[in-house]
Amino acid sequence: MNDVKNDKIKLNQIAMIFFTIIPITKFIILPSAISKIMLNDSWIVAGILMALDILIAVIILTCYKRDSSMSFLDISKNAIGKYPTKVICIIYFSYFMLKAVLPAVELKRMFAGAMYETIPRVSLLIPLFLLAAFCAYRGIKSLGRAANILGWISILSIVILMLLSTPNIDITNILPIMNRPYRGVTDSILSVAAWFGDFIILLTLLGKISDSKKKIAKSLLYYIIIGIIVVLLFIILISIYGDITAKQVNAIFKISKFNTSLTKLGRYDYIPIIFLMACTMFASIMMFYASNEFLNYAFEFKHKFIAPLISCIIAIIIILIINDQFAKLFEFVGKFFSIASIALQYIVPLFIPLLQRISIKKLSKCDAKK
Amino acid sequence: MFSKLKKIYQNTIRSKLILLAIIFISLLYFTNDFTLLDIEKTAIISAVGIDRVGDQYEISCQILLPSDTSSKPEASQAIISGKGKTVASAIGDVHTRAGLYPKLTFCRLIILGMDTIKDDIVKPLNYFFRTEQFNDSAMLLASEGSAKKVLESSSPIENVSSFAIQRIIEHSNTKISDVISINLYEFMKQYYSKSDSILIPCVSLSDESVKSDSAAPQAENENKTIYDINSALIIKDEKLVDEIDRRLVKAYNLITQKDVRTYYSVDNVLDNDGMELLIDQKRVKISQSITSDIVLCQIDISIKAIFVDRYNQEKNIEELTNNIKLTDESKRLLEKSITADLNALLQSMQKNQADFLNINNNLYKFKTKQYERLLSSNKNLIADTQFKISVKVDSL
Repeated sequence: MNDVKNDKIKLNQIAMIFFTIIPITKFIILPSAISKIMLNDSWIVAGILMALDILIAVIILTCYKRDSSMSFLDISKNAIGKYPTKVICIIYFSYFMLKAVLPAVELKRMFAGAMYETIPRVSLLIPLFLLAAFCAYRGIKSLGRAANILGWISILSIVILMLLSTPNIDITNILPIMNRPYRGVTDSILSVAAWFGDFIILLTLLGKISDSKKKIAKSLLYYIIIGIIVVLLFIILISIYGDITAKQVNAIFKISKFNTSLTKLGRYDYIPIIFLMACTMFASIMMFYASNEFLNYAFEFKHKFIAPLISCIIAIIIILIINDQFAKLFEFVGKFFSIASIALQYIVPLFIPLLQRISIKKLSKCDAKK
Repeated sequence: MFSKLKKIYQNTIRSKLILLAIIFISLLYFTNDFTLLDIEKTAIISAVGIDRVGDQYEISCQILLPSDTSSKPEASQAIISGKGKTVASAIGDVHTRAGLYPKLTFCRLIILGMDTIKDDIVKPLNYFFRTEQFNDSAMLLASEGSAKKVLESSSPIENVSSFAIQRIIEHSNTKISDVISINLYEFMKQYYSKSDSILIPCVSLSDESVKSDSAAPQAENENKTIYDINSALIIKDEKLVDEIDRRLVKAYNLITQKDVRTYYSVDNVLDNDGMELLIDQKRVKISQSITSDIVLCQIDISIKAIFVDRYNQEKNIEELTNNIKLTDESKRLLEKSITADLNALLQSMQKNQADFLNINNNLYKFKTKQYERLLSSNKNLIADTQFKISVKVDSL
């Protein structure tokens, strides 16, 4: 069992976590959701949101650079006090819990839609959340090690799928660029923001990173590469499907399917796709881990297993409530959760450097008094 | 001693018991079959036929029947039909009649009966396009009569009609330039684009009594069907507007399909003898521009061809080997012939206002503002488009 003090992660492991979770979670239902509003310009919206995400990563890593030992809890508690911190942590706990459920439900839907049409109840996801609870209990060090393997698998799988898709690409399908009102961009950002903002996980990793600060620039370069991969995947999908992109719900299954080699050899593209499905599970586990951390911050449980247990029970209850009502869930995400996500992903983190400065000042004053 | 035992129990045995209990409970959970359907309870559908009977759809599903390969080497089939106001309800009817869950994942062909095409072609296809389980690379085919009849037929090549048809359609891109090939994905992509006109291959059946050397009884070898899929239907705004023949299909393939080796017949030349040419290399450029109020479309075709067959009296082996090179006269005739075919194709396109050459799409992509301005003032863009065709033939 990992001791809390030893539960550390390296910057390159964090980058691998993001390589594992970001491209695939953006490439299941999201392209269809954006394309419904933006059609062939959906890649622009994905690009804007990825750029915002990277900006948030820069802000959080700046806090890490200023003081690597301070966790989010330390910063918030010292700056605004204990009870406001509890409220913020509970809000973030709920936010990450929904973000953990979202890829899991997408995964189930993808299985039912593209592979096993008779696959049953959503309760199949219960073991996933038991696993997530175990992973959260083990700590970030174990997740970092898993990401070291899964990250490469994700990269390799995406490269294979991109190569398989190349013969069917007609890049002119992205034309004309932005021949529609700019309002569409804001509308689509407001309805799909919940699928982005994965870099906000960095908040829970503050104080747990054991690496040289010189590697921050390299990490940011990795994040930019991830952003480029996401935009490229969108462009490939539009290039293949043109005006019918909005119909491609399980996008990851769709980009390679017209390669002629698959007719002769069978759908061997399912191998990378299934690996990417495993990465979707990891995405759900990472979000679960983050929600679990915020629950821990809020209530500071004595025993390490209590927070994962409570989080697991809540996740299972949510799953049972959803009970295959995907349409309602996605409607809720599109109408309400995405707007809340914008505040939690892009607005609150802007204040973290300021809170950290206040916190450091307060601590130095206390030290001076002593 | 007791406290030591208690400690061991607490540290090791208890945790192991908990672990074992979790594994046991998980086993109970995973022993259920999650209501997954067995393969024996599913009907693997290889092709679907859609007919319109009154105000209902009649869906005929060609179901593949597994058989012992040692006793019967060829695949066998069963056709089960269902009726309903919608395609989904008709497929549900098939489920009820067959008692098997209709699995559409392996369906590779949709045949549309003439009545369906005349009614509204997109309505029934939307179901297949919307269904996640359906593979949208399934080929589309129109039938001159009933789709069910096509499915029920059998060819001398294959017992399963859809397999025989697929051989013709799916090979068209590489071998047969006289057949149009379109799948559901391409159809929908074209239908939902600015150029909402599509060409669909059309099959007509011709019964032929076929003799084979197989041990099968004579009755089995009779009434085999040959599929003639050389014509194509023009679909515009969900409706059938016209039909094009084999020669125009070939002309269409010549300018739209990449890497198709085309055999081209030129008639009435060289003292009334035909000649067959193989177009092995081609470069096609279709460019559009907009002038003040009309669209100009320039089609430039550069072809390299050789003789495959022609009447000649070769005196010696040298003449015979050199005979594949095109003469100036034959180049001119081929240019004239292709230009005439293309003109006929374009006339059909303009007459029906059916943009199956993607002119609207390309203008929208590359000349958006001009196109939108022109579209607002002129609704008959395709009919008013001016075409210029330039064909240049060379010997390979």
